Amino acid sequence: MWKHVHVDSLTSSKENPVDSKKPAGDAKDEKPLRYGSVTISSACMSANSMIEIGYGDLAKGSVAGDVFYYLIDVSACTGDIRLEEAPDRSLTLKKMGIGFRVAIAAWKLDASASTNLGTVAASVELGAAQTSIQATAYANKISQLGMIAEISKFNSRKFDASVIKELAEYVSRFTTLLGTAEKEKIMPTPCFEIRLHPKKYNPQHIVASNYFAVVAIDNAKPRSSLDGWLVAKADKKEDQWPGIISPVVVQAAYECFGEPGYNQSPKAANQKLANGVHRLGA
Amino acid sequence: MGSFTVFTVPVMPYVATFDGVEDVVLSLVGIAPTQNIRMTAEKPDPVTATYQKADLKVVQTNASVLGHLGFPGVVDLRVSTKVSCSYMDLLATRKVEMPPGNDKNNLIVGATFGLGFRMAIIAYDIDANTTSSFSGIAASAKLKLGSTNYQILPIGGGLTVLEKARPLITNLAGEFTIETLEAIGAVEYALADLYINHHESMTAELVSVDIDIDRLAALYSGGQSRDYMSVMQGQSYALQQAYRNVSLVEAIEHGNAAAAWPVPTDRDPSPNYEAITKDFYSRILQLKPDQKPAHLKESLTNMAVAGL
Repeated sequence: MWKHVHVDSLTSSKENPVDSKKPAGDAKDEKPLRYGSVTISSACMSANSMIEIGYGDLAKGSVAGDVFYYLIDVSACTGDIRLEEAPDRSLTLKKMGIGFRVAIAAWKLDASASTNLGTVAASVELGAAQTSIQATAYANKISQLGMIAEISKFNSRKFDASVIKELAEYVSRFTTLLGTAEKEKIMPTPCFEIRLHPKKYNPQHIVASNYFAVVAIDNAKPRSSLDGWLVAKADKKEDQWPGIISPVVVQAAYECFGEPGYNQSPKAANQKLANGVHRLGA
Repeated sequence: MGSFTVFTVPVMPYVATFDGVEDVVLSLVGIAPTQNIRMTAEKPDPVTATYQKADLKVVQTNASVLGHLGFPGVVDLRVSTKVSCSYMDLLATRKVEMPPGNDKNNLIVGATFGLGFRMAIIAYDIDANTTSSFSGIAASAKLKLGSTNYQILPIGGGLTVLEKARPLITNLAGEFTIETLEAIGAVEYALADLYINHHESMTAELVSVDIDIDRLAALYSGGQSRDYMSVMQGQSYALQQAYRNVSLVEAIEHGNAAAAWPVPTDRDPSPNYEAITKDFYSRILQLKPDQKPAHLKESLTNMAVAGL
């Protein structure tokens, strides 16, 4: 069942029954309003992650061909973070704050032009790519934050160079606004979610991870070879391996062999050592 | 290897009650049971703590680790399969010790808190050697070799941080260019004063934890060894034996045969491969000593996948 746990990200938490309708800051304690936790991100996203954060409509629009997704996320949150655990053990971290999100879908776009918003906008300018924008504001009382509501004016626009410029100006004005949010006591609203999928501790996965490292070092492969290995498995429709081979355990193993680097091929002496480990009992 | 006893893992700042255990470092869930990954140290006092400026260095990694650190974006393999991911901590940091009563089974023996930014860079079609430094990446961008995407993750700090970081933040286009490099320099300079001299109103966040490798070895071997190398060796041996449908009793016989178990070394004067093998068969495979592992073929295949 769903468990609601109140979390302070830096101290131990106590289980509190949480009334999700109660806005933060309405509590009996007189803690000053602190928008300490800031998020500014501009990222390329997968269709699945867009759906997970609530942009299913944008993601499932009937467009032929490859679609690329982007998310601009600007928010300032209070320390009040709520953790919800689902039956499948996935965790959703919900933050309270103020901010806005701009989701962008782009198609008829060459893959090479899709890596960042600058090249996407350039493709749109050339008349090649097409885009769809969905912008949302998070604020308890939109009227208090008039400029945040303005974000919706981006909705009907196409994503070109002038939109980037305007968005940048908007972010800049927003950061100035945030500076007054504490003084003006602008109240937060649920605004930001992070979904985590913590894996269950499984000793067999640890064995698989350590063994992966031993074999890789024996074959003089750097720690980064895990990525290519996972891609090759995914190409064969084997998607379970990212949940089994742990990069942290592989890091521990490599460091133990004296190989702290990520892209560096193991030194001959360490390769020999791994060979000895691997060949025992062979 | 030598004096290596601790290794550092960058983490997301989230510490919470999970599975009924308090203070669990959520980034580490999966590498150990929850009661072994608790962050019980006090966060630095905002007024009295002092911070040091962390060295700006590029840490190369993969997309999965960036995801674990809280960067929301993805690596898109439709662009190119030649991708390199890195991150840098633009931080003022403070190391904290665990409290005196720290459980000796707790894998975490230290932690670092920080104020500042984590910056991720995803580079497509740029050589991994070039991406080991920011100047390399920026130079590639200037030469239009490959393409890049960068993201910023503020860590602690509060609203005053936003002001100082404006040049980095408002470049939403996210291409890592020479201008980005210059902006980093300017922001670093502005932040250094803020974090080191005016941090009373800021809240530092957890950025990494130090894991004791000997305790990790003990956990992974059911308490049979505190030497990680011996654990890897013993379990590699046991796994290969089990994969070939050899029972524990037979595996130990093979091991005791001449030249099969390695001799004690400086690193581990008393390697306990027999005990590690027994632990593997009994705890990890749940087998009796004379039981053949044939019915566990699928699990064994999964564990040995790297060598197949």
